Amino acid sequence: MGEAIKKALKLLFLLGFIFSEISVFGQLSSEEIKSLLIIHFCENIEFQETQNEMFRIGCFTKDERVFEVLSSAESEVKIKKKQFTVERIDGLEAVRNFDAVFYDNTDQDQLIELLNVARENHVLLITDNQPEQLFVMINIIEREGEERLSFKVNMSNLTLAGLQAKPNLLLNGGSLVDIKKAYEKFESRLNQSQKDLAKFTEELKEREEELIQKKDSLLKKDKIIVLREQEITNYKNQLSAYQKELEELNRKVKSEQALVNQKAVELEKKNKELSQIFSSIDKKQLEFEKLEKEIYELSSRANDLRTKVEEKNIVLDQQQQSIYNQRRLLILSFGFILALLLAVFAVIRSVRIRRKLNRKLTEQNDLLSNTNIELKTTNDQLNEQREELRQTLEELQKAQMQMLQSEKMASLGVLTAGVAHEINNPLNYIQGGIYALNKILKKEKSLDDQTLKMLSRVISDMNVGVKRTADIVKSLNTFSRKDSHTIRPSNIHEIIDDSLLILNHEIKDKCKVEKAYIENAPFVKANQENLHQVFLNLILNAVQAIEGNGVLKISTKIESGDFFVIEISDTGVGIQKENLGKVFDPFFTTKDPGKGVGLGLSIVFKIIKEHNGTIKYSSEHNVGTTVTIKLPIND
Amino acid sequence: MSDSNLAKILYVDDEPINLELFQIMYEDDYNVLIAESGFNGLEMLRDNLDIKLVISDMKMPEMNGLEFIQKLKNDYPDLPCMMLSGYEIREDIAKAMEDGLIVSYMRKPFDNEELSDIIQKYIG
Repeated sequence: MGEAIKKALKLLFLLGFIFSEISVFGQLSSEEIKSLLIIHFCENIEFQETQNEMFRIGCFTKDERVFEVLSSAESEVKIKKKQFTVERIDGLEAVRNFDAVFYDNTDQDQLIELLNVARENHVLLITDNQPEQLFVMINIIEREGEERLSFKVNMSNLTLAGLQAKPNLLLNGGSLVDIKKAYEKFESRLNQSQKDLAKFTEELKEREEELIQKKDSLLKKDKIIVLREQEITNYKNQLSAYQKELEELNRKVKSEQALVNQKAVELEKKNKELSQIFSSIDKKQLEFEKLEKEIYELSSRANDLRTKVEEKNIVLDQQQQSIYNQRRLLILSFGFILALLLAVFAVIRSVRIRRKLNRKLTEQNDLLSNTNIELKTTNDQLNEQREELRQTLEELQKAQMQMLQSEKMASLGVLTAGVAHEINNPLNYIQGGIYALNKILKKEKSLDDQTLKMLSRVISDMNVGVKRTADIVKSLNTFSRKDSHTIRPSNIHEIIDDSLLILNHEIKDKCKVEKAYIENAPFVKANQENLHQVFLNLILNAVQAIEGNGVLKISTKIESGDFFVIEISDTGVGIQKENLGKVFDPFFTTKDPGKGVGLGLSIVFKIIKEHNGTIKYSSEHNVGTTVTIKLPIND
Repeated sequence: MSDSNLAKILYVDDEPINLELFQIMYEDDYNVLIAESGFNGLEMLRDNLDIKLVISDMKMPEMNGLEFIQKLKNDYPDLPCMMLSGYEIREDIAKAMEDGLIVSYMRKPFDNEELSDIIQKYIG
């Protein structure tokens, strides 16, 4: 077969497609010619450019023959200078893999889908004997009775698929589909079928209406028939009822006749029985008479017996009475014993209950005493807590007062620092001026010795004034320094002297100050500012105790090498014995209101304690007071 | 004052009386330069690189003594400075002494001879 195609192809190519229609040659079958035509179409269509090495033709066909012819030519013929292959296709999905597809089925819906897929994928669709030219690209037409094949080309579908027909395509029996005509034809056919459809639907409607009418009449007739049938059955029922009644009546008549017959028989029987009974009655009457006689005898005997029985009954009654009496006695004694038992039982029970109650009572008593003890302890605890609270309150009050005091001291510190600075500067003028004056005087040669002496005396007096002022300012400063937490080696004598200096205005017109300081006093580690406060307070108290004129004596010594001892004595009014123990209590004061709140000594006590020292008052009324302070020397 | 053989010392104080008296007191022994403020003092230092010692008041408007000394130490870290103030020694001043910013501190009114000793010590 391959040879034949090859020959045919050669022939075709040799002839150069000069003939316009292909005749079915005697030696070539229609499938062979169709195959030739397919190859011819593929050769004369301009495809979109592809990278494929092979030219692929798909056969979507039921008829195997064309496929066989084409596949036999695979190795011998080239299309577009490429090797070509033929494959079977059984689904629309696969169409996109081919350059050209041959389709010979008659399913028009499938054809339309196939055409769409082919258009989208630029695939050439070759169809066989499709009646509708609108849905083809190239359609081979084989008319029955004619011995030649022709084909129609639908250019619009080709163009839509992105394919172009070469001029030689239409050789070998091809013609273009007249799209307009095809459309018109298709439309007219469509119109015709629509009209037909309308006509058919109308006819259908008419038929349906007729059918409905016929159904109605049928239904009516049915109803009539049903009615008639009902009547008939009614009649039948009535008839059968009548028949039944008749039968019943017959049966009743028959049974009543039978009854009548039976009753007649019974009547006869009863007649016979009655006659028999009458005869037997006569016999019985005789017997009865006999029996009556016997009864009479028996009753007379019975009377005798009854009298005897009555006698015995009386005796019995007596015996019964005595038995009854004995029983009553028995019951009474039994009841008494029962009552006794009950009483004993009740007594035992009451004793038991009382015991139980007693036990409970003692338990509750114990409980009560326990609770009482607990209450007492709670009360004690409460009292303790109250005491603690009172103490805490006192401490809080103390702390508050101390805070107030330290606050006061702090603001006083700020104030005195400022004041000191402002005084120091003008003092510096004077001091500087004195130095300058001295210098000038030394240079001056014109003054006589007497004048020079006088001048230098005046200048030295001025120096004293400056020095004293400077000292006061200095002591003020140390007294109210802000950084009051530092502990440093301190000269106790200096601190006492500073305090004396500050209080000079209080002291000078009231008392003589006697100082007895030890020589080469050791330094004591102390908070200087706080110790200033201590001595200020103690000296002021001493001075204020003196009425009129008196002596203030301050002496220091070392005790057993460990303690620095300071004694401050005054010749004042002294402290009442009963008050001696209270002097360090906060808010204890003998001063007039407004002159002191009674915190001074309490603060003193606290400061001395902070220095691990001791403070002690001894006093004699109207003789004087001595306060002794011991501070540890820890070098 | 203009004797170039005497050692130059700079005294800074905002009180003109202090400045005047200081000058009278020490002009025979030192070449005393005076300034009324820290700014003025810094200018003086720029113009006189041979100043041997700076003495400054503490409380001055705009720039206090400590600030002035801190500033001048940036340019002249080895120049000895001392403070002369009406205040008692304070914590910040004590710290400045510990740090070596200030070599000495004296309270006004100051003792003439004491100060002379200190000046002598640092002028060398």
